[in-house]
Amino acid sequence: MSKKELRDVVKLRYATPENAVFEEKRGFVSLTFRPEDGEEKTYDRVKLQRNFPNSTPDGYLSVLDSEDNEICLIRDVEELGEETAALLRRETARRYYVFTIKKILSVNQRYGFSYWKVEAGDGVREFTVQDTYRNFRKLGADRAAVTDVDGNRYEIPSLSGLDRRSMKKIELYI
Amino acid sequence: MIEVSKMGSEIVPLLQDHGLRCEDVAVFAMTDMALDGTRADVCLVLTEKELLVITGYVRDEGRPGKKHARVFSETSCETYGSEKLKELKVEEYISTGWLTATFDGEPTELAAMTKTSLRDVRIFVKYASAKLEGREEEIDENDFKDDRFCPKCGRRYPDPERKICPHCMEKSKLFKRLFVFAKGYRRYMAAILFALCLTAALGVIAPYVSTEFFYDKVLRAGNSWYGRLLEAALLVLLLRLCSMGIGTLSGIISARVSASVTYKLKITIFSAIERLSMSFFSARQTGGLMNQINNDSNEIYWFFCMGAPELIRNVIQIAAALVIMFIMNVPLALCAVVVVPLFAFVVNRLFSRMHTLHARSYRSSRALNATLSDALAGFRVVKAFSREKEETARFNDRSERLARDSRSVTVFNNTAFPAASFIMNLSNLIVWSVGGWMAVTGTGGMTYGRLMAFIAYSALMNQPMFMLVDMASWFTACTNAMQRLFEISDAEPDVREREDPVKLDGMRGDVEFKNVGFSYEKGKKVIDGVSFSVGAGRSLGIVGHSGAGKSTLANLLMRLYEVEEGEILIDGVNVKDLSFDDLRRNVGIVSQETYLFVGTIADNIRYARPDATDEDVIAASKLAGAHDFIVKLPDGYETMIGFGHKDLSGGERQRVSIARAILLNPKILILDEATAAMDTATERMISEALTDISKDRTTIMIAHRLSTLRDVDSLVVIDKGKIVESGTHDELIRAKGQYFDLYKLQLDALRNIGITE
Ligand SMILES: Nc1ncnc2c1ncn2[C@@H]1O[C@H](COP(=O)(O)OP(=O)(O)OP(=O)(O)O)[C@@H](O)[C@H]1O
Ligand SMILES: [Mg+2]
Repeated sequence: MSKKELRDVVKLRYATPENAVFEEKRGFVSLTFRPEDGEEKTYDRVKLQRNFPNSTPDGYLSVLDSEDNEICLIRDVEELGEETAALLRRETARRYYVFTIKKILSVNQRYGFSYWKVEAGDGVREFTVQDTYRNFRKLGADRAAVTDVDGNRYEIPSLSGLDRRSMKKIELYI
Repeated sequence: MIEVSKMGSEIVPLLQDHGLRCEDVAVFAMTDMALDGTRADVCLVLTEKELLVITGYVRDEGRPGKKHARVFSETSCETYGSEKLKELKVEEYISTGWLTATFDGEPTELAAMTKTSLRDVRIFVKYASAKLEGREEEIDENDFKDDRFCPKCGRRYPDPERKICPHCMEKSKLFKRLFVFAKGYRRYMAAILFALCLTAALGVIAPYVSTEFFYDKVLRAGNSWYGRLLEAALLVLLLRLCSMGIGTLSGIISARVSASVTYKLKITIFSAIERLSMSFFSARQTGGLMNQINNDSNEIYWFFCMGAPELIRNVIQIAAALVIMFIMNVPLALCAVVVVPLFAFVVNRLFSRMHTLHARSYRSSRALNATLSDALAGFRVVKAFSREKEETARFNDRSERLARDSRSVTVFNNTAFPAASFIMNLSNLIVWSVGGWMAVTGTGGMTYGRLMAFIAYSALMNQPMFMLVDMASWFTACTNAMQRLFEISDAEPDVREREDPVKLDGMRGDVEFKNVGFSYEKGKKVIDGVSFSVGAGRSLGIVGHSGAGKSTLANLLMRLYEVEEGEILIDGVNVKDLSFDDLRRNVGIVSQETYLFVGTIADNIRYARPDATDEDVIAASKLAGAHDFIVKLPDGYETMIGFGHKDLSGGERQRVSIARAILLNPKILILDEATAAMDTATERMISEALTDISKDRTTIMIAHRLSTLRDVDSLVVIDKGKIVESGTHDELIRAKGQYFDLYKLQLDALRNIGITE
């Protein structure tokens, strides 16, 4: 059990260009952070966790240390300047990488399972979905995602942008 | 070599390129993603000296005649010296995982993977870490049993928990198994079959009598039946009555048989469920399970009660009609069947569309129900936050959606099926015109009556078409349901009683955990190397953060789950060897989530020992501090509680649960946060009562509030599944470790409000 001060837990600390410096170090993001009520400290490696991954991917990022304690929050990556924003965006995009469905080639239902063949960003991918109704989820009004048996997530960034034939194949689940 | 992923033929030459032989490799695994997130094939190769991460992709060099012409084209290779490599770890994200480590003291990313390779990499990390740290890791056969693929067709099992390949499922086997349940009903089934044949035959005769016979024999002069109208009418009536009577009779029999077969099936399934272990339920959500069993058996019931007899009757009837039509007039018969394939095709499409619409409206109605029960179950919260308007709006939205979906079903039914009937009429039209022409010209001996008969037969053939086409999906649904049910009855419980279990008469209650390790999900250790012991009649307190694994320890002692490493001993006997009876009778638990069944308070307390007398129940309640509040209820011990009845407070529920455990009078009592919802004074009282009776009882107490654990003989502090400290209260205070910190914190809190100890 690590000791945690109450104020560490309840206080919201935001990263600003003045108190936080994010840098790239060996492929990881490092942070030098000086809280207003404490000493400056450098973290070799911080993790970025989206608080609202669906609605605000670039806002409200939790910056966590190696023990998963929150160091600070980022309200919006834009606030930290262009360069840092780009770094943070790249990092989160990589962490939150999901496959994108461009086109649905086939969906075969069989005994409650479905076998999918889709055109993803990097070519054709095939996967199997269990209990399709439960694993197909709408994210907001126009986005949807389906999760396969391994837990990989395939996202449809815009349902209205999908061609008619693809749409017909997934109509049932929407 | 530990080969976590299958080493393909293309890997050996690759290793040779790096100056390695297969014997040099200690652990090998593959992932499917490069570090930049692109698709790739990546080899993780751990040798005595270093870790190689070779990125590239496997190509099929399609040389004709040669089968295995797979080539690994390498794009990059990173090498990490073993002595500088530490802390291999897999980090998991939404669709990807990352293998990281500290290399030369700095955090380093080694490899990336999609979730598909995650399992392999986790196992790789397990063995590679042991190797790097110079430990000897025991080889677990399960790690290499890749049973994610169907051995027959190589396809992925869609559900990792269910080893069933939808492509290779044998349907005939399912039906054979179902007929085992119908064993005692052979004679009835023969009767049904006979009746079906009879109705089919009558159905085939009827059109002849009412058309050709009537027009050409009764209405035409010069026949022996000429003018005998009344007799003809009576004959028709008799035929109809017979066919109706037989049909009704066989309907009644088949309803009976199907009902008792499904009843037997249900009984089998439910008794199978009792044998199954916890992990079966957590993988499947129990609530849905019961529902599913009911729905599935209904599906089977309706198929066999309605579907199968109809199918048999119709098939016989169609076959007979076809034969008669071809005997009557071959060219005309050909005209009649020519439209059938087109019709079948169209109807098939219509049905698939209809199923989509039905499924959608079914889903909307479920969503509506969910919203409704949500709002009703949470009505306190709804009112407290005055969200009635929003809830109403949500409900309106859902019910509007349902209305819309139901409407589209109706509209579809009212437009599509007339359209299908039109095709059917097309067939009639052809028969009418060709047949009419034949009758007029007298070609092929066609008469007016014969034409009418012919038309009646073609109707006999066409009518059941709708149903037959839909039969396929009905059949699928039914086999699907059977599959799921048999699967439950076949499931092997993973916690099973040994064949010749050890009986412990007069259990003392010594508990010992020896290096216990356990994980709910593979690779995520929840309990890791936990050892402690509690002597008979002694008490042990377990403290630790929320999520540390305290309740899991209790589950393992109860043998609700099976330990993966190490062993748990009671009186020196492994719990795996103990008889379930002894275990359940001697180990009692008051779990964190109190569960009360619908029934009286007395029933709830008596649950573990139904033969307990009223006096026993009262005595147990007294000890649990429940008696006082129970007697104040107007119905006393006979107050109905549970869902839909009297609401008890959190602390009251806990006291009923404690009484339940005390009544069992177990040698080993586990209290998991059993008094957390009570005020300190009540807790104190119960705790004293428990101490009083716990002289010859081993007690394991889990609590966050340290004051609860004031009287225990010894304590263990666990954090992230490991024991970090243990000893008596005084020892732990002196050690000034985590327990001390916690104690000080809670003491400070008391001091702040002016209480000192
Ligand atoms: N059935 C389960 N399947 C998967 N993971 C589980 C299951 N039950 C518990 N866990 C996980 O195991 C870990 C330990 O859980 P456990 O219930 O033993 O914690 P605990 O110490 O009793 O916590 P608390 O004090 O909050 O009751 C938690 O991270 C929890 O999320
Ligand atoms: Mg718990």
